[in-house]
Amino acid sequence: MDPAIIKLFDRMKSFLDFSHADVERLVALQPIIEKHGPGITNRFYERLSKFSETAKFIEGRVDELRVAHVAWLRSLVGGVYDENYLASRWKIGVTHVRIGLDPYWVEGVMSFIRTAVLAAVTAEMRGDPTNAGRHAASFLKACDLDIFIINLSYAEDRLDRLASFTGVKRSLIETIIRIPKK
Amino acid sequence: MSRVDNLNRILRGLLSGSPDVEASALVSEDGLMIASALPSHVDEARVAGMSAALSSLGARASMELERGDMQEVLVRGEDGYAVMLSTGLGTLLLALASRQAKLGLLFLDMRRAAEDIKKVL
Ligand code: HEM
Repeated sequence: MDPAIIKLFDRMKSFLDFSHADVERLVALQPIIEKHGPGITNRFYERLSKFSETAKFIEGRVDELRVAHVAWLRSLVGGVYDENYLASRWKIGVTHVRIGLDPYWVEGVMSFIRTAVLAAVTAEMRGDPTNAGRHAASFLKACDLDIFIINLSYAEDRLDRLASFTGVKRSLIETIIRIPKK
Repeated sequence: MSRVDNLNRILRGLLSGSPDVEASALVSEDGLMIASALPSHVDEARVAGMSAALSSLGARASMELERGDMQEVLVRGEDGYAVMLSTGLGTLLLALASRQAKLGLLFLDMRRAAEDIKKVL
């Protein structure tokens, strides 16, 4: 991984106040994810197959993709958010650019996941709403960190493709972006 | 004389050498202006960004289309020419010339100026 990206990831974790307590709470959510994760994943694929913009990407391969997705959900509460974790999220962004999926659909799925997992956490921890709130907040931070990396890798990969095709250096693209519009 | 003064002198020399050359500039590959002899109404940031983008695209197209190393990029509009050529060392030379300009002479003058620029850089 590019050291600048590793640094940015660490800065973002600090900005979100992503602490050891968050990590502990995420790990504590593992049984809830084990119980609800496959069902949430099924619903998410149902949703993807109902929209023409996303259905075309998953046709005939839902079973295989479901496995990848459940594994992703597990690693979200895996308790380790290091360089390898960052690299795995980076790869998710790049994979989705390669298949030609527009980034906002990934955002849409992330919103679906947030809502579904929050409902599961609230239901499973209904006896202790304060603690449920804390656990939900930690889960949201993990989702936000993920979407931050996925979006960044998406944007970087798209720019890299443009730069390498046109021969226009990244530094020139940055200069051009800063020129005021007419 | 400072390096910038020297570069400005070379660019002005390109203009005084031929009445058909209306403006010239030295631009970095990153799209930043290094030195220029441009009319005052011209937005230097746009000229620099545009020249660097065209030159990069020209170099890549020349390679991709198997035309060898790029010699220059030439844009011909109704009112004249914009010519860009690489001076090496991460910079490019831009000349804007009138419709009447003799291209052979313009290329020759630009190459000479590019050699002088290399010595200064
Ligand atoms: C939060 C959102 C999403 C996450 C976390 C996610 C996660 C993943 C992961 C982990 C993989 C496996 C990557 C690999 O093998 O390297 C994958 C592949 C894939 N995803 Fe997603 N995904 C998301 C959204 C979507 C959406 C909205 C679609 C739209 C249809 C989609 C379609 C696919 C497809 C088609 C592949 C297989 C790509 C290939 O051909 O290798 N994903 N996804």
